[in-house]
Amino acid sequence: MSDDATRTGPAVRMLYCRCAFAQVVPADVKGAVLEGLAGSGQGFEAVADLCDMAARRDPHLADLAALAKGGATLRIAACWPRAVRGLFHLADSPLGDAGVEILNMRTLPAERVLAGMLSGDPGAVAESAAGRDDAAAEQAAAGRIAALGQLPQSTPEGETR
Amino acid sequence: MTTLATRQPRVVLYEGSGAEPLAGPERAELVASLLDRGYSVTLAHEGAAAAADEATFVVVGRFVGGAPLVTAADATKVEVHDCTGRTPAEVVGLVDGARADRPLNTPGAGDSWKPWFPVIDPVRCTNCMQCLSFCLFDVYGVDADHRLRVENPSNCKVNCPACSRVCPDVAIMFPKYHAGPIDGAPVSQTDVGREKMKIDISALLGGDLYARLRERSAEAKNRFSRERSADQALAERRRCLTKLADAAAIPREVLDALPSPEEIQRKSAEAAKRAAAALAGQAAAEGTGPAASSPSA
Ligand code: SF4
Ligand code: SF4
Repeated sequence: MSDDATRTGPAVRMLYCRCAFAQVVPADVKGAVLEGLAGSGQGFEAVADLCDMAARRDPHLADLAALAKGGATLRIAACWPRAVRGLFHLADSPLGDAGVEILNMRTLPAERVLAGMLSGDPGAVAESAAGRDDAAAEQAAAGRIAALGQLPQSTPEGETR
Repeated sequence: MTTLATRQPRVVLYEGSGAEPLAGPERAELVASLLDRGYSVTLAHEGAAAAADEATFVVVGRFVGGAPLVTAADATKVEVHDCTGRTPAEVVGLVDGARADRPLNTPGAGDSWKPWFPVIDPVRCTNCMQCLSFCLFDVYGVDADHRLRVENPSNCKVNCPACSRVCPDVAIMFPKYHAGPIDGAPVSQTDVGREKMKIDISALLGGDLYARLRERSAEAKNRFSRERSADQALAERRRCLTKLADAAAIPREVLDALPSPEEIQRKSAEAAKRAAAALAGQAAAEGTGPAASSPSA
């Protein structure tokens, strides 16, 4: 990646979510994304758990949402865009449609997330919101969760996938 | 009950003027260690220094020629520490010391609060209030405009996504759930159909899931009084509830922790009343309900 390609510019703010406890974001992906951000030479915000922060209605979320509304670009590396938008809404800081790019660490490989975060790759943003068409990936995720014993071990029959 | 009234404390890792930058891998390791402890971290570079707010209590960096004085927006003095030559674990220790009595939640560690609660998709929600009347734990409430609001996230039962099953519009997400669309994945037409089917299952089981739970709980209680073995009675109660639990994906621990049948009844009536009031409020605001058309007293 060239130097230019990794510049986010002053009007870009990046937010990285570490997603604690449930292991729904693969550890290798969130680890590699953090390494990529930390090695980029750019400043960024990192939170232990965006869900926890939203539940506290942390005013910092309102600041970030306001930035995006004020013309800056807010890039968020977390999970499904629908969930992230819901969390900002719950925190009384709804995100606008413009200026917000959400990268999904649940479904994308770290390189794609980093391409979206550091270079504003529109393809990575679009893929983040697209549905899972790879049942195997989801099964692998469920297996990982079961193995870690963090969520109920028995999946009810007929579970919605 | 966990209090969510306080913000998670924030650490600024400063690498702007007057400080030496850390090497990339070192920086990643330090940020990861602070995050895993529960802190928020702002990595502030030249020209992008973070505004200190009341959540910020410490700035760490490899300062050259002495640590600068930093003051937060609310005039609280922010501690500044030089982390030159310290390992990430030592920096976390330093930050823990500087935090003093500021509360910190390390999600997932020990008995700390686990951020598990419903998140509403405002685009899909029709404010029908079915979730509000379903939940026995006062997780839901309404805002000043009589719209649904997740009022008490910490009242939610960890790993229980049951209310997402009662939403006819598939608007309830649990971001840490393992499968879509409950985890926030896009909702397909098939999902809408499937979710409706789940509601039908609970209807087949007796219309009102809690009414059925109540019944089962009472049955289990009667059995318990007849059984000589408490273990046997408990096993029976679990067996009775299995079908219901599977229909709504309610974890057994949540069912086992349900209050007494009387308390369930009281809470359901209360929740239904609040839902009805919210719907009446909505109708009045839209000028379509009885409150809007009835003459003022
Ligand atoms: S927002 Fe998504 S990635 Fe972040 S903590 Fe919540 S579930 Fe995890
Ligand atoms: S049941 Fe669904 S649509 Fe109805 S108020 Fe709750 S979230 Fe909104």
